[in-house]
Amino acid sequence: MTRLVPRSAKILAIAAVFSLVVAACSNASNSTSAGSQTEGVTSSEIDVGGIAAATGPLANQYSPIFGAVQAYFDMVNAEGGVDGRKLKYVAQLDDQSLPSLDVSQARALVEQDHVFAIVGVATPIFAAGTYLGQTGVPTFGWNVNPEWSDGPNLFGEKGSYLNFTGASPYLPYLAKRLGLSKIGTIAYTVQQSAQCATGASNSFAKFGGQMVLKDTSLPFGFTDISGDVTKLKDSGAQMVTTCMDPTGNTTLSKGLQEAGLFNKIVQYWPNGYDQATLNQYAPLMEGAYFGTAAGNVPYEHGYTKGMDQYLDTMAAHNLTIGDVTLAGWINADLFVNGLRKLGHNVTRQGLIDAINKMTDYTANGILSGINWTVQHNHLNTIDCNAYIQVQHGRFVSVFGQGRNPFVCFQAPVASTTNPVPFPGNPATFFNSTAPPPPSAPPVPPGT
Amino acid sequence: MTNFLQFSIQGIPYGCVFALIAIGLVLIYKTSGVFNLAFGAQAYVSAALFYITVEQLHWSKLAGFALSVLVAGPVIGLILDQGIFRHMVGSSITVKLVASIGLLIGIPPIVQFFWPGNHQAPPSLTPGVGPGRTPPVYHFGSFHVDRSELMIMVVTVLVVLAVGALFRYTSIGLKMRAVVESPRMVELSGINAQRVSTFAWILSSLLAALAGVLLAPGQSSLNDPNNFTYLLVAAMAAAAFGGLYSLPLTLLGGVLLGMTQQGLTSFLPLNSVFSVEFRPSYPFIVLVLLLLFWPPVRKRTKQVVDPLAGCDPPVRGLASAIQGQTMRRLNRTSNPIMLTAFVLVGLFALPSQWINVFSLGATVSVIFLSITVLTGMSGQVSLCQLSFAGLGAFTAGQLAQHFNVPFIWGMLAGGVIGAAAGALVAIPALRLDGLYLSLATLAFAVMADNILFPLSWIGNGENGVSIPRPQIGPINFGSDRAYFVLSLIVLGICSGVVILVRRGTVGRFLAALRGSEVAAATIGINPVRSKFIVFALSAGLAGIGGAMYGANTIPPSPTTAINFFYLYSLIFVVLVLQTGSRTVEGAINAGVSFALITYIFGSVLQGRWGQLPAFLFGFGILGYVKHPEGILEFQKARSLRVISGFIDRRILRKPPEQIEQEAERPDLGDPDAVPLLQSSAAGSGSPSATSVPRPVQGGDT
Repeated sequence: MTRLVPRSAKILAIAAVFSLVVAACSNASNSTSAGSQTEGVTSSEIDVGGIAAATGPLANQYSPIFGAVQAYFDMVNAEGGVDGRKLKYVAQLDDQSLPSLDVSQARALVEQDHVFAIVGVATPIFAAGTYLGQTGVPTFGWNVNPEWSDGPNLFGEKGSYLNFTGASPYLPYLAKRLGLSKIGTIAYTVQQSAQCATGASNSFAKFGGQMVLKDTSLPFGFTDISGDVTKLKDSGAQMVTTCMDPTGNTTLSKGLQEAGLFNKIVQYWPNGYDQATLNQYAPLMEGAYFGTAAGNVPYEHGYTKGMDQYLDTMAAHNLTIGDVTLAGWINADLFVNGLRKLGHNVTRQGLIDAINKMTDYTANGILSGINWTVQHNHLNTIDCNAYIQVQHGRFVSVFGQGRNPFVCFQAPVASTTNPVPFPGNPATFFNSTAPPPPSAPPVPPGT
Repeated sequence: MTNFLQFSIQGIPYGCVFALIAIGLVLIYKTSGVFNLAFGAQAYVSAALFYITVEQLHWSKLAGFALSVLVAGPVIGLILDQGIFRHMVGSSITVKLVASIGLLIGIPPIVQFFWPGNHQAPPSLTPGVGPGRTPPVYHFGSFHVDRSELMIMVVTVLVVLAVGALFRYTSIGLKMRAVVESPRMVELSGINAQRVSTFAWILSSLLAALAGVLLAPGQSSLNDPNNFTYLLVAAMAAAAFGGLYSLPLTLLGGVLLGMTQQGLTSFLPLNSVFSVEFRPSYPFIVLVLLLLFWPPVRKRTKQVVDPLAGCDPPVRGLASAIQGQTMRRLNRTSNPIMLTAFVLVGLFALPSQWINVFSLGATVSVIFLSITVLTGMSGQVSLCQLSFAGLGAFTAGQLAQHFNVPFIWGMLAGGVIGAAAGALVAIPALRLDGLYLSLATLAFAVMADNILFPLSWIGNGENGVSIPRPQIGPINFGSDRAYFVLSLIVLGICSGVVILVRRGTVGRFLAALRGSEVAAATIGINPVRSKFIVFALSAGLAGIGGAMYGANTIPPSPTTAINFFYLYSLIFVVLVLQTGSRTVEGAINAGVSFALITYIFGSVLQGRWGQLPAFLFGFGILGYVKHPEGILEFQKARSLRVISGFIDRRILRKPPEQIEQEAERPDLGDPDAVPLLQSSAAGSGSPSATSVPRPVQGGDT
């Protein structure tokens, strides 16, 4: 049979239509919808959800946030709730440490479970940050991801701004106090870890200290660190600051021990300041320094009532004490404090506005103070942290003054490592009636 | 040089870790013919059991070791042999590889389902080492080693000696080697091949359990079973050094790998691309080089063929080949109606969240079509299809971010980049075949994860790349519903391309090559050219699918490299093979099933149910073992027979002779109806494949 239309003409026609379609292309603008301002709020309860990496490589570091949020809600509900409304933790979703699942779980909470707010977000990659930032759903979580700066409705436990690579006097101050000048830093290839190492090298470059080794080539997971140990030895490093998890740090510590350097090189670990890690690795942590990651008082009774309450509640609920549960606790506290400012007329935007007016939020004395008018995109004007050292198998606060464990620096751009006074009133901030918490001068290595 | 040696020597204990795993791989391969990628999953089970018994039940280490290694190891081996691999006698090595991938995916979720929560690494098996107690260190000049590392080194050497002696001096060792070559020939000699095979699995599983308990304390936690698999993939280089055969060479390969990897630290400039990206990828680069150029491997790239393989029955034909004319007419009418109904329901009745799930299904289906093209048409199994998809996605995202290129152009560019990458991989990979090709592509996938995707101008590391949805003229595809329609359009176009290619010259050439490369060459078919084209086409489709898949994540939330993690490539291959790798509808069914199952278990049921999809995807391979044509095809054929029979006999009341005649006539317009000339859907493409008599029909050319 004769073809009515030649094949070449058909192909040309298809190509022409396709070209027209392609020529008319551009990229779509984004639009998201999160329901009404009072979604998830009834006369008797407020529905809240959470997202954490409950499974996956780093699950043990993230999923405990749910328990801390629930414990705080239980405490508030036992006292009658917030303005008569009980806080109900309706969904605690697992993003399996996957960014794509993080987004779809956030959507499930907002569009399927219709929660009012998301309280307790802890995940290695907060891919849903941009989506949640656009929806305007109040979201509270553990700020270990840059995405927390993506909207005025996103609230991290230590403010929402992170600057991994910026120069800070925090580590150079430690080196100066210990009289150390040759520094090494070791990190994983993981981006945030590598950025942390860059931050360390920038800090020492600005505030003094010779960076004799910077290695950001270690693969996360099963790591052989003997090459770095040899390089630390060859370079004459006196101090090593790491940007790794406790497993990587203990591997380094073991390597230093094997090479006979354990008592010669001071270690600073960015995490591992928790009793469970100490119980397991005490000999490898002896003499190592830590910081209080959220700018909080140390995990000891006697500093402030807020910290005492956190420690007691965690113990009562058999939850671990550490950065992630503290983040969950602070998240829940900020959420409840914001709700209480609203009275009975609870709306999402009202809650966001109420929190963003707070200029000195301390979580009842746990934090040195967050200024929510600026801390979505900047550091506070004064940045305070406590320094901790493992001495004789226990965590001890060093460099503090009396009950005040903090060492504070000018921020966001400091010019020296000289500390500045604590911005609050120590007499009212710290709990003067309790027995004093443990503190001691730093113990030099090898003693 | 002294510096290099000083660094290298410290790599010996780490090299022994590679060697121990590689020996396990070689042992299983030598004794069962299975390149057991599930070795890491088996090791994980025993490590978890050791943790439970010692840390949670407070048993002694010896008792924990007895249960987790001496009991659980052999029991798992017995189950794998009796439940799966015994039924795969005569299957090609590639088919067995796919079965082991299924187990790799399916086993860990069982542990995580029944043992939820977070778990640290188990205590060291080494005496005198435990929580709060570090191992003593022994110094030998400048070389130092702690007691745990020393134990791994000693165990590795002992295993090599013991297994070597077993093969060399015992009759069971000889029988094990013979059974791999041809179980049927061995049985003709009066040996119980099944019993020998069972012994081999028990032995190798014992070694997997031992490796798990020995190596787990060095890991960050037991939350991620992939740590074992990553080690296993790295250890493949050591196994390849031994030609997947020689145990002493494998031991040497492992030690050399550890030493050279550590030695690189001495002269690679720190924080340079060489140090940051090259060093972690070193084992995988070595693997590819060994596969391509190492004589012991090159000698074995032509797979051992069972002399009695020709006795195997042919694989079943496709369902479309057996449907009667009535059924065919019914399908032609009902299918468009059902599709239209589905689209309308999707557009107007489903909530936005569910629409997004179906869009995901459609976009993943496009990636799955790339597997249909490569595996279904050419019989090659690539384990890096998702890496090509990642390249496509990041191309579209980067072009949009930096040059404001519209998504549709970016998607097409993604397809071109994917195809180019596929062609680059194909050039060396086509020197290989079957198992070795699969291993080379797996190494490429890991290298893409380690080297390519962290680069800021490709995957941008953990920050990822935001991929915008398109706007075409006045139509904004930013909403979920509109994007759903676009996904269906792209899927339809890609499906059409696949069907056209299969009906065209390339498809026919590949069908001929699957039957016999030698015979095809005699009629002028160039196998390298045809395979090269299909590899590039397949990678191009994956690139387009990757761009669509990336944009399905609601922008501006970024698409990150972990979405294209190498293990997902394995899951995707297993899924497509389960549903049916030879048909477009197999890929689409696999895509939709993937999206629905992960959403229902992960977001609707929540909690520990989120572990079940991986279990289902992994153990679905049991169906594939029984029905290599794909479960979908099998079920379709069965349903067709029942429905056609009912219609013809009860409604149309046709005489039995006419029904029989019509059922045997294939649909000549559908190339799916042409049966494969291959003994298995994912076959090795080896010349031994059994020919299936083609139905003699006019016009079937």
